[in-house]
This record gives sequence, C-alpha cells and structure tokens, in this order.
Amino acid sequence: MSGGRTPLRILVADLLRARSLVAMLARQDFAARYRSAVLGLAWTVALPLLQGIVLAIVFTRIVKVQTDQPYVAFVLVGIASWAYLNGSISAASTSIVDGGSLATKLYFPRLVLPAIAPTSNLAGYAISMAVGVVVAVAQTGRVAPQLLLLPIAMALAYLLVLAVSACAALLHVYFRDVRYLVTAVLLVAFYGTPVIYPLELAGQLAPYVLANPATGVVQLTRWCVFGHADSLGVALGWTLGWTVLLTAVALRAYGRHERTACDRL
Amino acid sequence: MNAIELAGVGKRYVLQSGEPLLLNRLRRRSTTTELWALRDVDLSVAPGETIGVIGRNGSGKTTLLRMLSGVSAPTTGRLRVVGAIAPLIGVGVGFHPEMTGRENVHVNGRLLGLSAADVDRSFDAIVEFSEIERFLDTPVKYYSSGMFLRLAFAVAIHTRPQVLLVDEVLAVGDLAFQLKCLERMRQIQADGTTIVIVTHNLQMLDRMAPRGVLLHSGRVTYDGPVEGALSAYHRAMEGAAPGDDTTARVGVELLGEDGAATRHFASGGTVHLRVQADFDDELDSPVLGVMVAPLGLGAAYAVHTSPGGYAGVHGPGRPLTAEIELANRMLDGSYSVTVGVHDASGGRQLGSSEPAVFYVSSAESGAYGIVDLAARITIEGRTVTDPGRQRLG
Repeated sequence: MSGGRTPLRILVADLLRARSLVAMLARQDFAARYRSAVLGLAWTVALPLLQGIVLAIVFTRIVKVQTDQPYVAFVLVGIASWAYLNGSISAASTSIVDGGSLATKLYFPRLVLPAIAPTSNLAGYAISMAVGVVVAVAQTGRVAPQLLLLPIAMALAYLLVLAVSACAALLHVYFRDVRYLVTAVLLVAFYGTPVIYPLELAGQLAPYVLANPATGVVQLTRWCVFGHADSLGVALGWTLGWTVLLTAVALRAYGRHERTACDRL
Repeated sequence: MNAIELAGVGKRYVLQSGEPLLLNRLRRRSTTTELWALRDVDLSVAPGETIGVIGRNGSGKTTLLRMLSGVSAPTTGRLRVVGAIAPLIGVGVGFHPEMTGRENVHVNGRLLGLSAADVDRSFDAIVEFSEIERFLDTPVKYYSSGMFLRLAFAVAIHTRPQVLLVDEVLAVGDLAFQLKCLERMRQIQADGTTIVIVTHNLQMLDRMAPRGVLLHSGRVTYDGPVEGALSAYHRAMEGAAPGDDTTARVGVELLGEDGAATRHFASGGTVHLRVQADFDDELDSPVLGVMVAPLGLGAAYAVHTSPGGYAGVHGPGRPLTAEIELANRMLDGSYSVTVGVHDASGGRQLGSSEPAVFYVSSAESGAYGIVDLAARITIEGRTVTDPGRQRLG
C-alpha cells in the first residue's frame, strides 16, 4: 500500500465482500433501535402513518387539494417513500463521524458505514408502503398490475439514498456543518417533492420539482400503486441521472479518501 | 518474504485551526499546520516474529498501528503487510450495549474479519474462554466491566490471523484472567503468528517480545533486543531540567553487572550506581541519600549515610564521587532512583539527581509485584517453590 488511493476495482470487490457485514450491522442497528422501546417495531410504521393521517386531514378538511386518487392513500404512499429517504439520509450522513471509534481502529470498506441506516430502514419502508397499498386498494377498490413492480421502485429509492448518504457522510468528515446543510436541503426538498400535492399543481415550479431526485421515486411508487403518475418518464430520468452521477462521485471520492478520511476523526 | 515491511514510511497530519466547517473554508478562515507523526520509518518483521513497540505518548505508536491495520495510509514511503491482519486494538470496539453477549460475539467476530462460519466454529471456545456462559443472552450493558472486557478479549483473541496487532489490551480483567490471556498469546506466538505489540505495559513486552523498537518523535531510535529497547526507553523518559536554588548538582550513572551503562536489570542481581556531585560552595562532610521508587508510586526504599559517617571537604573543583550497590530484590517493572546530597547534619538537601529510571526484569521468576520476598512454599512437607534459594543464594 502506498499513496493511499484504492483502485476502483479493489474498492468494488471489497464492497461486494462487505455485503453481509452491512446486512449484519443493519440488523443490529434495527434491533437495537427498537429493542428498548416498548412498542418496538410499531413505531417505524406509526410515525409515517401519523404524519400521513395529519396531512390527509389538513389537506382534505382545511386546504382542499384535488387529486386523481383518493387523498389519504395518495399521501400515505408518498409519505412512505419520503420518510424513508429523509430518515435514512439524515442518519447516514453523520455515520462515519459517529462510527469513529470503530472506523479509526479497524479497517473495513468505509462505504459500509453510510450503508447501514438505509439498509436497516428498509424494513420500516416496506411496512409503511404496505399500509399505503392496503389503504389504496380499499379506497379505489382495484389493484393495479404494476404493483408487482413496487419492489423495483423501492430498490431505486435504496440506491438513491445510498449514493446521497455516501457523499454526505464523507463530506461530513471534512466539514462538520454538512449535517445542518443536509437537514436544510431535506427540509426544502420535502416541499419540492410531490408528497402532499400532485405534480400537476406545481405549475411553473414543475421543472424544479422534476429535477429533484426524490420526485422520480415518489412518482414511480405511485405509478406502481395506482397505475398512473404524471410526467413519470422525465422524473425517472432525473432520478436515474442523479443516482448514477452521485454513485460515480462517491466511488471516486472513497477510492481517494477512504484511507485518509479517518485521520480527521 | 517479510510479514511486515516498511520502507521510508512517513505520515503527515494536516491540523486545522478552528472548526472544520464549510463556512470557514469558504471565508478562508481556517489555517492549517502540518505535523509529521512518523518520519522515515524502516522496519521489517519476519513471519512468526514478535516485536514490541514502545515510546512516549505522541511518539507515533498509534499512527504506526493505524497504518499497519490499514485504517490509515502512509503519506510517504511504502508499507506492506502480508496475510490476514487482526487488530487486538481497543477491546470492545464495535460492541453494542443493547445487544446480548451472543449477538455481539457474532457481529464483533465479523468485524474482526472472521466469516460467519468461522464465528460459529469458534463460538463455544470464545464463550468458554470468556467465562460468561450464564450471561450470554443478557444485553452487554448489564455486564460488569470485567465481564465485558473478558468477552471482548475472547472474541479478539480467537481470530486466527497471520499478523496480530496488539494495543494495550492485555491489561484486562483480574490477574487470573490476565495470566490466561498471556498464556493464550504465547500459544498464538508458538503457532507462528507474527505479533506486533504496542504498549506501555513493559512487563508484558519483556515477557513476550524478544525484539523491541523504540519510537521517539516519529522516528525509530532503537531497533534490537528488547532489553536494549527498554533501557533506551527509560533513558529517553528523563527530561534534563536543571536545578534552581540548589548548590549541588548530582549525576547518577546506572551500571550493569559487566560495568557497562544500562537501564535494564535482571531481578536477583545488583544495581550499581556511580555518583558524582559538583558543588558551588564549600561543604564539609556531606551526607548522601538514595531513594528507589516504583514509577508512579512513593518510595519503596530510602537510606542515607549517617551524619559524620563520612568526613571530607568538597567545593568548587573538588567534586564528590561515590559508588552505591543495591541488591536487586525488585520485581519486573519500571523504577526510578534518586541520589541526594545533604549538609553535614543531614537536615538540608543541597541538591539531588534527576530520577534515573530503569527497568527490572524478572521474567523467569514467575512472581508479580514490587519486591521479591523469595517465598518458600512447603506443601505436605515437600518444598514446592524455593525461589530464594535458587536465585538469591
């Protein structure tokens, strides 16, 4: 070893070998998080569900939003993806610094650390999405055949979250205000994602909403559940573009910095 | 091929003043300074060899260990470690307090580089070694610190690496457990594992590592037999601070049995001190005192010449020389010896030497502590242990 750079080939090979380590640490993260809470796993579902119900009440009783789909189901499906993106990215972006005591003593691919939260949150994501699907089927009275593709939509969400988290977590090692930057960006992105409103209401702002990588994920899951989503192709194009770009950036950055980043912890 | 090979290795840290924030970078607020934690380190370790690395805090030991474990890359030079590396670094790293002992064994084993099958295979051995069978399904946050450390150490020591990095961890648990760990380390050593020990625990170093490397300010200042490393280390520990209002300056030289200067003594022999005192003022019939203390503790032994016991006039240009022989009944550890010069009544100290630190090795005696009381143990009329006879004659 010299110079400190890890060639891409080795980085990827190490990463593939570390898959089961990620799975194991994610399982531990998940179990530890809910073990000491009385309601346990119920919280993962209850929180986005509560948020969805509150939003449904606000936007049907107070502000009236017109949607093609029943609003409660519409919001629940949207909020399931949003809660996953939001929760995973905020937790993962500080993961390398938080895991400092481990990271400075043992070598394992540094990309393992930002992958833990997105992986352990998958279970909650699946459950809250299932709740959304049940409500949607109950409200619309029909099952879209695209529902079979829902796991692919969720896999896209996973890949996007991994790429964003990896970049943010490494940047956070060098600049500790990145965690606040991430919070700020997520706050803005919530309103820039068609979670509580349908895409067609965005009007002039639609191009910006479409450029937001979260939009493609939300629209794709809606398409799977309801059989229809506006501007799906464009939104998906942006999401895939962001995911590929950020993955490339992350691989390059980790190849360069993974053996020196921990000097900063 | 060597197991570990370092050629011209240096590590530079860039230290930032101020908070590492994006804002500061944008406003160009932060300035950086460089620090070379290691410089021009050449080191090769043969397969199966055990080396001990010592040095004061900040000498670069931790940096060296981080680079060997692969966490951190060298800034300059080349570093190569052949084979699987397991670090025994910081026992309990990666343990999750909410998880049970059983779960932590699995995760920790994986973190240390074992496969799932390896962990399953070693699981019973780990549990047996740790002596916590009854609490295996209790979250480790309820463990006593001793139990926690025993389990963590058991996992770490059951990895079967080709290169083992050991950092401070053997000071774990009670004495019985420490002995068990030492035993296990010996076994790993005998199995042909290359071991790098980085520690302040000099007893362990002396017992385990035939070869010692001394780091000082990021450079290797000694590499050779461990006795030499311990001796050089103790010499380097002394800071040379000049006396203030004293009128005598006392120098002490420590000599081994062969009359050569050393800081490493075998228990049971003699510690020989050669003393020279220089005086600013004239002094009639000084009293000489000597004190020995285990490092960090109070005096273990102090004695002085009786007032009037020696008659002679000293002063500027008329130094005093003295020889002191101490029967070495100390057990392994670091000690300091100080020699002081007093006026004729013994009441006023005119000056004393810097504490000269040295290391006593009693590796073969099997006893622990500060002083060798040469126990003779007789069981059912048969003398089982008689170290006094054997060693002090």
